[in-house]
Amino acid sequence: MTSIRCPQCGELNFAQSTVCQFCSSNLPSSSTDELSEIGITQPLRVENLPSPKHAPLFPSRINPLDGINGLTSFAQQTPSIHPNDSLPSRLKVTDAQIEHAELLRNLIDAEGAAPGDPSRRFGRSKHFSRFFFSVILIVGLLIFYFVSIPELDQPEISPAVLQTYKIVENLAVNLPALLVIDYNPAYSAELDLSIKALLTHLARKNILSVFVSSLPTGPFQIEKIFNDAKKSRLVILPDQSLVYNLGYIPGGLTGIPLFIQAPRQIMPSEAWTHGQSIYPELMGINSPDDFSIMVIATENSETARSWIEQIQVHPIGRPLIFVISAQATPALLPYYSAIPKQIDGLLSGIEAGLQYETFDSTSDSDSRTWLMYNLGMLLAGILMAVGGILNAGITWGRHSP
Amino acid sequence: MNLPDNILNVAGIVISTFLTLTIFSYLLGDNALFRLASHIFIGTTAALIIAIAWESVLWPKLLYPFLFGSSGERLATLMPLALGILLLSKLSPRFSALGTPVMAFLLGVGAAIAVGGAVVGTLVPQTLSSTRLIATGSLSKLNYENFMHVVQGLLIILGTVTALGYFHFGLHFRDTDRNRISLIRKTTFYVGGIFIAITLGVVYAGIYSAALVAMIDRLNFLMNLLH
Amino acid sequence: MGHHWNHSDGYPIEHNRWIVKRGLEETILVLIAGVSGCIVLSGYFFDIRLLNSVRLTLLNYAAILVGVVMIIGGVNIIRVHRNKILAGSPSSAHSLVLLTSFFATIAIVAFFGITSNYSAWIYENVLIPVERSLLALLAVVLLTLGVHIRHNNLNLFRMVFILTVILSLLSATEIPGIEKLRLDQVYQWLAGVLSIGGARGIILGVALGTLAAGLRLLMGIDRPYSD
Repeated sequence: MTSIRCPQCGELNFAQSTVCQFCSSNLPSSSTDELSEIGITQPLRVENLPSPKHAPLFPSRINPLDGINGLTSFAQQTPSIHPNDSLPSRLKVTDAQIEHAELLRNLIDAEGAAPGDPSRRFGRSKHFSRFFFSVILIVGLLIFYFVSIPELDQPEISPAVLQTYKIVENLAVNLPALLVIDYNPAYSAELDLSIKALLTHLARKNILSVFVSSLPTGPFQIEKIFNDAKKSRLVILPDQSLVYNLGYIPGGLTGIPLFIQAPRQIMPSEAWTHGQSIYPELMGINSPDDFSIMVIATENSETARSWIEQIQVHPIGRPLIFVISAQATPALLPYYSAIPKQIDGLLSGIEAGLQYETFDSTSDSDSRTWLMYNLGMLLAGILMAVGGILNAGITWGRHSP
Repeated sequence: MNLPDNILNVAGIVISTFLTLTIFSYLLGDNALFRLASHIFIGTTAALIIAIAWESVLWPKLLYPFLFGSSGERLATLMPLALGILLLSKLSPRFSALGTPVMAFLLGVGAAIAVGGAVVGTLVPQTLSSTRLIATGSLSKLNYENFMHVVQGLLIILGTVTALGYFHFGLHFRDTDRNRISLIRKTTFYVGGIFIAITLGVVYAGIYSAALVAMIDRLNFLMNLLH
Repeated sequence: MGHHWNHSDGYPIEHNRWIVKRGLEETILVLIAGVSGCIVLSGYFFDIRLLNSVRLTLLNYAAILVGVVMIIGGVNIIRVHRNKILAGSPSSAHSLVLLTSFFATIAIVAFFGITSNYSAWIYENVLIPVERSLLALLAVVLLTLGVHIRHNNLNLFRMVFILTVILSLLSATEIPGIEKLRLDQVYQWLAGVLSIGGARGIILGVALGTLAAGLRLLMGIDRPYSD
């Protein structure tokens, strides 16, 4: 017998199967006689796999139409049925796979035998160097808590930030603004500043800001933005009368195309109903075109790219601003510098937020933060330069005659 | 029951401080406290995600219309409800095959969104934009500004083409093969690699910048407790 | 169909039927992924009203099903850690902490609502400190890596990479005296011109790769949904 019947469901399985493919219950093990009938006389291990000359035991391809007689000419080309013929193509073992398996086995056997480099004394321990540099960085950053804070000029406004400011300044006041909060809590320290600056500007123009997010944690981040604005020294939103949290876009990135085309269809109807009861201007919103501006805040270049691509398919006809983390800036600059532009405005990193605040004369940030940031960047640049020179010198010294 | 705000505030500060310090303890090496904080974080995040999935998706778009909606709404939610139940069978090893067609549907839709967006949103506009970089208007008036504009445009085009060539023509070659590779391919490889190295260098600095801001935020939080 | 395969080949009829059944299943899965994907993809290139309404319906279903996937993910986490506790594994204490934080969060959010002060409290005092602290650790890791970049295998690309990183970091600082080095002008060329070329090449490459992978899935060549 070359197949084995499952004791649970009664279905037939291949002789070498240990688990039933129909009900996932354990199968009784096959006898050696049964295995030998299909050419397997030893346990199935890499070193026991048949050599290439026994290839007919393991044909390499099967397509979904095999076995359906008369449907295609493939049926005639299929070799005669053999248990391994009917294995899904992924379970078949090719010659290349046998060689790779042998290579992997040899590598694993050799694992753990590699000696360290005894000549490399400096910074040999990963933990030590990480701790050492963390102390330098933390002590360096905290220095401004123990010495008087020197005067440091606020950053000059860059052309990108100025352009964004002008776009917001020229918005029509009777249409709400759409802000998409798509960044993780980790990056809220960097991006909240720009969002707060924009929110202040919009609130001053009496423009309603409607927030959404395609991240599950987004609605919570939006509520945090509202609470921070309420507690802000500048009292941006004393009674949260100019903000509304529309919530989570179902489907995340999968929901973006539907949100661009038909936001009322994808967002829960209760979210719209509740919003309209407070803000009647939401009644006229049927697509992102009906907002005055669309601002998307994210730290992830893939998320930003998804939004840009889907908006390109259904252009919104309104200014599109991106608030992005410094790490995603290079990936978005091609879209910003495209002809015609795919993005109208770009606020990148904490610096853009500070520039926007300074230009708008609504700076609420602690000047110590700006100093610490500058020192942190300078420290890293100098350490990497010095470290690079030292490492290069040590390497050259080791290899020179 | 509404806990007084000051108790909540104090509890919040205590928990934030504990979690911040336990995460920072990783600088001394992996330890049980760090793993404890990570597990608290994972449990909390998973719970919030499930809460949002229920509150924003399943209840308002699926279950509420099916249970309390009009007959039209019930009919409309029948199909997604059936698909959702089939998908839930993925939780059971015995019945997980029932959810495979639904996974195939989701992956098909996801692939289509990705392909459509890539073609219409990136490939076409970015390719066209590259061809427009050196606008004829810049060449009509010869001054320093237009000259720099042309130079920049040429550099961007060069970077685009060579970076794409670095990836797409499989320009990986072993040392022994280098003599047999044409000069054009070698040049494309090195020039493209330089452009990519510059881009990745800027990205690296950007990631450090974002992480530095988070570090400053946490240090400010801890120092404000002491002051 | 069964009568064509008799016992002369040594295999029972049921066994051969299994092969046919598997082939049919695979075909149906490929058709589901392909047809649904093609309907969604067509909306990117054609504007046909009927097709558009079917497309929007499919997108709606997909969005709802992603919510189900989120629930499945959450339940799976619970199951994995429950099994760890029941098996008495060394990390069962951490698993217990995870499950406790999970159920406590679910209880609070379910009882008070996701827009309540208590849910906001959990977000601000658990998620934010942990995530920001983890990102802050990354600053130290990146700094350590950047300092220790190995020079045994120094090549042109590594040199360009590390130089770009150093220039980007130094030019971002406004410390008095640094601006005399005119690094910001160098950085403008690096980040504003050269890296755009490299980035554009990268995003075009990514888009082409997405196109290829997506089309392979829609055509049934790749079947990640298949068991």
